[in-house]
Amino acid sequence: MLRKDIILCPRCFTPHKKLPLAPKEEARCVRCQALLYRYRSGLEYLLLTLSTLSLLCLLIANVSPLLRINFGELSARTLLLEAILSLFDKGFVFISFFSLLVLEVFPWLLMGTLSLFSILVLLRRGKVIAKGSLILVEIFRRWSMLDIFFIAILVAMIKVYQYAQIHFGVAFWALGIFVLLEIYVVKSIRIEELWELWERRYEMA
Amino acid sequence: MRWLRCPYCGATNDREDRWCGRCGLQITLDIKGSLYKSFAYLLAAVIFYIPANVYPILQTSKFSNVEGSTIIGGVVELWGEGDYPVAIIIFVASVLIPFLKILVLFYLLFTIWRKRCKSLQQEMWLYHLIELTGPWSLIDVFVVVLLVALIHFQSIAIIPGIGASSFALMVFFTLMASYALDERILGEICARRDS
Amino acid sequence: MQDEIVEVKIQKRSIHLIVWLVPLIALIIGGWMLYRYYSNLGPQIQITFQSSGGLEPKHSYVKFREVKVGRVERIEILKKGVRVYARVNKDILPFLNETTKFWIVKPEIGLGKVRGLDALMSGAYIQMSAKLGKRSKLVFQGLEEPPLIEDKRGSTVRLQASSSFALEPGMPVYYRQLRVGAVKKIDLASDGQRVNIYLFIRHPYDRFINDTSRFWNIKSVRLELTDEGLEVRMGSLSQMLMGGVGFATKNLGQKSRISLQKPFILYPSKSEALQKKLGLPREQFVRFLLDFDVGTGYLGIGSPVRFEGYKVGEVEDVASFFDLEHRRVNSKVLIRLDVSAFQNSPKISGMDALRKAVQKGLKAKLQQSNFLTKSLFVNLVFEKEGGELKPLGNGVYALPTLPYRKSKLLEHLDKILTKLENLPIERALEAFSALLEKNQKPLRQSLLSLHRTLSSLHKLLESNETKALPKDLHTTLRQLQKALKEFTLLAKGYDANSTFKAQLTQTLYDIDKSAKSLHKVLLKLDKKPNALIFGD
Repeated sequence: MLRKDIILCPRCFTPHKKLPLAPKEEARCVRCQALLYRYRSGLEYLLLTLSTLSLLCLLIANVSPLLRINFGELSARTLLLEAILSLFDKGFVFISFFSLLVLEVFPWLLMGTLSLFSILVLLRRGKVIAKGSLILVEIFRRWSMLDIFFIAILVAMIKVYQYAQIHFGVAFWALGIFVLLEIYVVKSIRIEELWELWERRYEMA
Repeated sequence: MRWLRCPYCGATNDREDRWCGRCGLQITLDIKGSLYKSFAYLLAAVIFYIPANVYPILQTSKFSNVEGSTIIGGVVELWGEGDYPVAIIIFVASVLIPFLKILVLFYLLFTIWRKRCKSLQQEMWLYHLIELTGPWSLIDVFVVVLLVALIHFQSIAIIPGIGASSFALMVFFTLMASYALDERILGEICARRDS
Repeated sequence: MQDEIVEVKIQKRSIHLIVWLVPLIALIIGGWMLYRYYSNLGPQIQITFQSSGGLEPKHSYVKFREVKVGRVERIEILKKGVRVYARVNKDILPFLNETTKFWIVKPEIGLGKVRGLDALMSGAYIQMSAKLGKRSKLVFQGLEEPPLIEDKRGSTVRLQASSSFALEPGMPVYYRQLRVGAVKKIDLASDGQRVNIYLFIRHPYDRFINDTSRFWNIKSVRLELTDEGLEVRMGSLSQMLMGGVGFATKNLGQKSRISLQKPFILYPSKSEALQKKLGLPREQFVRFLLDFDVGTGYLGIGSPVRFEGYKVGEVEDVASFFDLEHRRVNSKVLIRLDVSAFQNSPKISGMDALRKAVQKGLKAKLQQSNFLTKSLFVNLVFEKEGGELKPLGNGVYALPTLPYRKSKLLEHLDKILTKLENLPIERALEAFSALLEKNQKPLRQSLLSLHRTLSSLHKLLESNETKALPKDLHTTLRQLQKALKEFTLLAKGYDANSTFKAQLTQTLYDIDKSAKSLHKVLLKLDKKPNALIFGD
């Protein structure tokens, strides 16, 4: 039996009775202070805006050059996908394949399914598809690692900036914006909130 | 304990339910299965941990003179050059985190196996810590990806080392190990102690 | 665990800090990079050049003691020249002062020399040289060419020559086959007639340069016919490829006095440089104009000016005019004369010494150097009447001349030759055959040895190693072969009469001697063909 009035603390599993929240309020566990849920309104709009923006950033990050470095007269530039596949040519199949998944496939799928979900929820159609997409989102968000890659770019540049001149391309900045958006979408908005949104929207219909 | 939290959608279900009433996924607790799966992944991670630290993670070839550098070597070099924040980040992400992660996972698995719970709060904190920080070990792998893609001139080129693949596999398996470990089991064990 | 349900705790929304850790880390790293960048940033300097010389903003470096110490940021076009803005490292700040010099290094590749090889890899760059100074400066005037005096110890020597002999900056300077310096700079003298060649001689070796030093251009292989027979001079491959300048000093005891004002002469070859010289060791050239009443069609530019057999100068220019009144051609000949040849003590100047000689009757005269080729040279002779040196301005003087007369001896020889031409050939041939019969033995011997030389020379010419030799050497050998063949033909059947017997025998003897010494060389080459390439 599903108990919608009860929430179990994700940290200590203490059952709590859910109470409605006023704006700018949040509910916490009585025992361990863990965050249980927050006041949200217009989540579907926020989600649609952020996920489509993320998709746009992802597109820019993939079609424009990421970095250009100059070693005197020597110059090299790379696209995101080129960088990932360059290891494939050198026989490092696992790293290349793994990077392809966590830096390309999963980020695209994550934002794609989130957009799909928010559109479906807004239209109140395709309940089952929306449910399926939420299940997938939970998997994709764990394996989307562009935020780590972004920090890795900075670290890599720290290693070469003394010998080379670095020019950050448009893709770099697009990636930066994507990372901020992704952090907000998948870390700040919790998956439980999306499930509740899904429940709410389709119950009313 | 009358209820079970769905690990996928967070919904509260009755303990007897096999499927979550909201997302429809299986929610039954499988202590043994989770333990074995997690332990198997952890073992694989430990195996890859050794070559990942012994072999160079990247090699610099200057006029076909190849020079490798291990992760620790890279950290020492960065420190020597005065890039302290980056040296610290790399050290924490690539050396400390994987090592602690394996230790913590062993500790958690041991706790589950022995069914000895010291403090649920502490163990849950440890679990969330490794889940949150785990993927960050991949920084070094991505750094190698970038440097290899950018620096491939005739005179100077960066080639990935054997260590890079091992390191990536090690991180991958620790991630799998922590995902395979069902956090609710920790709560279950501690609840049993309490009751 | 208790199953009772508690109500959630409601509180004001707090900021979820841990989520924003990633941007925080990115900010820390980015901030650190910026901090490192700006803390290492030194001052911006301005250097003005006539042209940018291939410098590229953001790519080209400033180098100091082979270290990259800065980078060109932008280049501004001025009304005259360009201004280069470069950002240099902090640590060279003490070297930015009144002693600082900047010039542009470009890659240059030519046969036998590669300069600025590093610039080939990195593109043009700005080279900086400086010492610690007092006044610090940030705005500089760049040099168009590398400065002559560098940080290294040594001396700069100026040479003069009529041509640069294809010398290039960077070519080596040898003293007793030892590399002691390099050609630094070559430019045209202000009068446009001479070329200045500046050499830099490294420290301990520069003390071997004094007034008795002679400089010459090093060429590759030379075949020289000297009094002692044929001589083949070979340098090593690098010397052959690179060329360069060599020098020798006769009187090492003399104190070295190097002044850029008094240039040395660069001779075209070693043998010319070491020729016996009349008068004081250090040449001093002055131009003189000679007036002749004949056409000088057989007087070439570069023809020697001789005094008592010594070469004391050369012809620089010849101009001839048709004189309708006297129905003849008048000529004006400009010569360069080494006035030091007439100097017998350093107390009086060369010019004064010559003036005295002219007062005592020194005059210039055209003379045929060889009755077969009719080529002329200028000979200085003493006549009874004394003359005077008249200054013509521009440092040119008029030297008194003697009218041209064909020498009596030559006229006589001319007559003999005409007679010879009229002699019946058949008879002469017979006479020669008889002569051959009589002197059978020695002549046979000569012919045999000539033949031997020819065949080995032929073999040498056909071998692949010789074909790969420099083209001019190859042609020289070919010409030698041709000449020897002609001599053989001459010896085999040409007219002769008894008057020529002795002369012919002498010629054949000479040829034989040359051939023998050539044969020695060829034998050596046969054994060691590489000697020609790698030096002996």
